Amino acid sequence: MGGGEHAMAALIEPHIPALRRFAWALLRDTAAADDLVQDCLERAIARWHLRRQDADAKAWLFAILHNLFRMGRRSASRRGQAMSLDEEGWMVADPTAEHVAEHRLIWRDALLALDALAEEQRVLLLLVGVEDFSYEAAAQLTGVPVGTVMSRLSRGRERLRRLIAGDSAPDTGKPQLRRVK
Amino acid sequence: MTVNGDPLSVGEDDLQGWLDARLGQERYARVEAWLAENPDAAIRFAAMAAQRQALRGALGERYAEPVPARLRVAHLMVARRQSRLHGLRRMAAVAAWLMIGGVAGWAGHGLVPQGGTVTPMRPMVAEALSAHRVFAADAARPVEVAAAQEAQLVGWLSNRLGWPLVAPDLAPLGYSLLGGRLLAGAAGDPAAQLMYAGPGAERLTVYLRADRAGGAGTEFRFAEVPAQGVAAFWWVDRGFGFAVAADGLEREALQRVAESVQRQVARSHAL
Repeated sequence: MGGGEHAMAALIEPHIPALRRFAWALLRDTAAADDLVQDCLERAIARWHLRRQDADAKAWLFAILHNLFRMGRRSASRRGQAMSLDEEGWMVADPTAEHVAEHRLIWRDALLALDALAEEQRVLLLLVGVEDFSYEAAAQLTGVPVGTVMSRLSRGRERLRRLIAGDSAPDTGKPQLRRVK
Repeated sequence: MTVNGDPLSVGEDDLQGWLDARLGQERYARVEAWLAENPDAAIRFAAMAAQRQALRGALGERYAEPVPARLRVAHLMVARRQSRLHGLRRMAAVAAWLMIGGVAGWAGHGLVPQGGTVTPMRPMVAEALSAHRVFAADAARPVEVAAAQEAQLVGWLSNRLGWPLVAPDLAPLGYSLLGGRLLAGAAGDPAAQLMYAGPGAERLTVYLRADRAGGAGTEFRFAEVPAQGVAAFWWVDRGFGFAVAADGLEREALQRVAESVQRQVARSHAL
């Protein structure tokens, strides 16, 4: 690799684990998520010279990935498996480690409930709550005003809470999740 | 970020900021005090803080996983170089095939030749070249809608293509927009041709339509029909194929125009 390529790799590589996490959280399928990340990286490499020099590489990469996701390229692979999880990813390695198992149930519930949210809420809960983007950066990245980010976060989190608590929410016709114990 | 602009009241945005630990010390203390006075809300927001943590925990394992080799930048760079080389070889093969096949090869551009060692020209590109040849030569009526009605032209073509078209500004390169027309692509998809005139009135066309044929990326490829003197640089981006065609123009000059078109299209579509 030349010097320019090294510089580009040095700016892109640190964000790949987060891109994979975000992609997996959206798609819940390891292979499909890695395909999406690969598309994102190929695009980023091809357009590296087009990005604004002062642009934050992480936000730029996430914007590309989010765009690719939204373009619905992945809609087919996703529709087939709403609400399903990579089961093997959730095997408890040591059954005696009960607190780990307990944690995994809580985690699993949170992920299942997240999947029941509207896509734009889910995206923001992940960008802000997991990937630590500022409200302003999340707004820019998803192309909506900050006020919209705040209301989607607020509504998404409240709905997630109700889903996990098993509250019946009169405003939604969607099936409620119950905690599996 | 407060209800009714009262700096002492606590609003929904403050509560979100509290959840995300994005508040300054003073604001944080105010929200804490408010939560202490509102136990129902405190319970709700404690639950939301817990589920925020649960999501982070659930996804933490994904973050910690080693990155597979195929997603390493170095690996992707090598693959990119190889596919470019492959593209050049394929184009050389296509050019050779077209030269040998001549008109027969042209007519059969959508077909795979028997024996199958040569890849036929991509239909989108073949259409762009033939559309250039037909309409650029038409001195009386090169376009359907003239550049004078650029807004209508762009709106009309965008509607028909289902894609927000922009007419690239090629004036810095010496080309002015003459206008455009709607055409029928081979797959039945509507296609658009924008025509430009160079300083010596030479014609240059930008052809685009939906192209989901796969096997091509955003990198430039070169295609030509030497017998007819038409050449194009083309690429495919998010399911749309673009070809910038000219006759008798130097390859380097044509590439500069194509690069400008690609940049402008990319910029108009944010990312």
